[in-house]
Amino acid sequence: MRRALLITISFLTVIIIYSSASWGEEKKPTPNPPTCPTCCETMTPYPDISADDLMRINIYVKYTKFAQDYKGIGFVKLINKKGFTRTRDWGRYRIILNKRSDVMDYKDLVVILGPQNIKGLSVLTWNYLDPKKDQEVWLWLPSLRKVRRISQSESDDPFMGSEFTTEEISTRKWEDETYTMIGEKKFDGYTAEFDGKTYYKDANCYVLEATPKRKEWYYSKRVIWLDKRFAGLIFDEVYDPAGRKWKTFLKHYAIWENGCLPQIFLEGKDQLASHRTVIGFKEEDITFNSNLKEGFFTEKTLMRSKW
Amino acid sequence: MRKDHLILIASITLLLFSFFIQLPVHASLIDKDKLTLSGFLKNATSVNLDDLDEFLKIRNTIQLEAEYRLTKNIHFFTIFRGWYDSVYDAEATWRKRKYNRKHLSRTKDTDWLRECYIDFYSDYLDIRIGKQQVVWGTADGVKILDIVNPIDMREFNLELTRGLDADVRIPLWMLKLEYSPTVNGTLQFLFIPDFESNFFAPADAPYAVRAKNAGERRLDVLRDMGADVVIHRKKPGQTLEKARIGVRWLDVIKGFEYTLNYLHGYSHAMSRHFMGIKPIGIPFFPGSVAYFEDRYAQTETFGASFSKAITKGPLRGYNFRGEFAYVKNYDNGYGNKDDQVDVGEVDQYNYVLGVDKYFWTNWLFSFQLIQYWLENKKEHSYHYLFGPTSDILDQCETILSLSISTDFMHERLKPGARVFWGDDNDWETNLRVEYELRDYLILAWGMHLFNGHSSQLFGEFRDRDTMYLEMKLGF
Repeated sequence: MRRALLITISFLTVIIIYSSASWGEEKKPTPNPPTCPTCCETMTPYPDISADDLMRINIYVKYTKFAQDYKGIGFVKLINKKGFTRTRDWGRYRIILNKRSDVMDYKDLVVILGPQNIKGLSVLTWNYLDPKKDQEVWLWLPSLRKVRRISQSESDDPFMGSEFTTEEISTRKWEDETYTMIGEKKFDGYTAEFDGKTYYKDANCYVLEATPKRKEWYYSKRVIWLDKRFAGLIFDEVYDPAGRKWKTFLKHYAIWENGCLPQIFLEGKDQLASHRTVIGFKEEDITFNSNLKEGFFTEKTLMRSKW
Repeated sequence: MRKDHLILIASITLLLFSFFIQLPVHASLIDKDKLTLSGFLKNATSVNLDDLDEFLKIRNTIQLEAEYRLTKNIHFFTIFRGWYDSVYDAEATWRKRKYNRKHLSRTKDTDWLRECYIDFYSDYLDIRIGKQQVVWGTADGVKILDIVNPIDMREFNLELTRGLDADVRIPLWMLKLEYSPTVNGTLQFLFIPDFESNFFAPADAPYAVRAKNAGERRLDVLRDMGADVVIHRKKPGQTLEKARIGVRWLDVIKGFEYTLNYLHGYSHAMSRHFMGIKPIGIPFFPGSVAYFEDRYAQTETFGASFSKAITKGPLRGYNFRGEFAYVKNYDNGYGNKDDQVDVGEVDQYNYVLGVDKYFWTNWLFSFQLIQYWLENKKEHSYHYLFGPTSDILDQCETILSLSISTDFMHERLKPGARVFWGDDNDWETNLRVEYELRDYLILAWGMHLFNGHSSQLFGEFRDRDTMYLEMKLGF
């Protein structure tokens, strides 16, 4: 009897320990180690993933945190309702520092290549891990030939005059919104006005609703479509404070074999003003993991500008 | 440029070329094309608002820019610029004056070669050799620490207030080294054998400062008394010993950016010394000649600057900045108002404190407090005189500035305003609106309004209120 009791207690103990161990193994989105020196650390959704974790992966994909660094050359087109188009050519560099720094998340450098009147204009930003901390921003102003320190632009300020706000391009953090899962759906597809192509038709998606934590903010909610394969945002519907559908954004990614996920085509449309913005990159002009140094993301590099 | 300077610079260039050509480095901002060409055509026309029939400027400018990437980390860059201001032909008021019209109406001498340099890049050391601009400091619209290059003030400060600082700096031949011993720390070293003085519009030109006009009137008095006037410009010799040397340390510590600066060499500001009247000291004597000498003082400047953007807490969004310069042995005229007796050496302490903040999403407000202090108020019981106005200089002169800028229509329309207030209650108000008609075609309209007593810095131009129109076609 005593022996049976001992066996039972031991058995129960083992069961309890085993169970508690599996409680500790709650699934979290974690990056998969790269399989080659130039490969990226992918992070993929797991079954029954929460809305919060999906958005964590989305932020990871948005800011190319899967790579050590990034560079790309592209264009921004601002198109009004009559079709009048203004174009800015630009280059972008980024270094991801969160794996080697306790303070810095990543540093970003944007350089305008044209047209001539703003050629050379460059913006260097340092982004902190602390979600409550703003960016540090330096501008190279060609007309002054000087570096000018500025505070971070207001988050609702249009980025380069586009439909995308500063927040949508570079300052929105995971902590800025609350997320609710709407469900899993097939995306109807989006036909871009710029090139007439239909993107992501019948793509399997997670659909989420994001609500800003800031009161009286410039939007009331977003309905977000994330591609189930990599949880990158492919379509975003933004609602104004009155609850009207205001803006839509498409993001098209290239899925590279090495795990890197560059954004190569973005189209933003203001449904109320009928103004559009198109951002494009040629795949061959995008590079990941090219061993950029942190010292490149300093004023010294801004001062190399000749324009 | 002297021959020995050219040989020295050429030798250093070859040496560095052979060294840097080996280095694998991520160098330039964008390394796509080997050759990049661009440029613009610009027309700038302005009228006197106090007399709308009087044009003050009808300037046409052409600029060509070329960059050639010899290797990934060696680049050649040059800017050619030519301009012609036809107001000196078209406007009788300015055509008939006795100044040298050539200096005012067109690109002079070798100024068409605006910039020309070679860059060498590496992870730790950047080198730029050639004709270039170097900028220190954080101030807007005023020069406190931005003293490496001389400035062209033919239009007083109008182009500075329009944010066209790069156009008013006079590039110099120099060597610039940037060494980075830490990630954010950079030590800059400048060796400047070239010398140019600040350029002010001559007397009676549209934007001649009051002191220039007053000085010319005094010379006219001598001429009327029968004396010839000879002015000898004692420009510093271009020898190695007389080259200017500059050093700057820049670092960013926890978001606080600071620089420490030092510049040794001849000042770009000229002071005029009376050398006497020969042969017997009075102008009435037949054949008498009054001699003057324009000199440039050997000065030492110790400076510092800082900037800090507040990224957290109740002051989040504010950007604070400042710069300070202590100028030792500055040559400053002294005497009575409009009557300079002599030139004395006096130390100056100048600084700017500024704060910037965005309000209502994209309205940028920038405020600056600017002060110029003299070590002594008087010299030999005379007051020091203010260079541009020849008025009595207070020991401390204060200027406040406020600028506001924003944009509309998806950054297509960009209005802005900047106001300066001097402590003698004189004002300068600048308004500007820029409109992007096409990607490569920009129109700008603006006004410069002056108020105050005619002997004050801004008041001296109170009958030169200006309205201008600019059209710039880039390519």
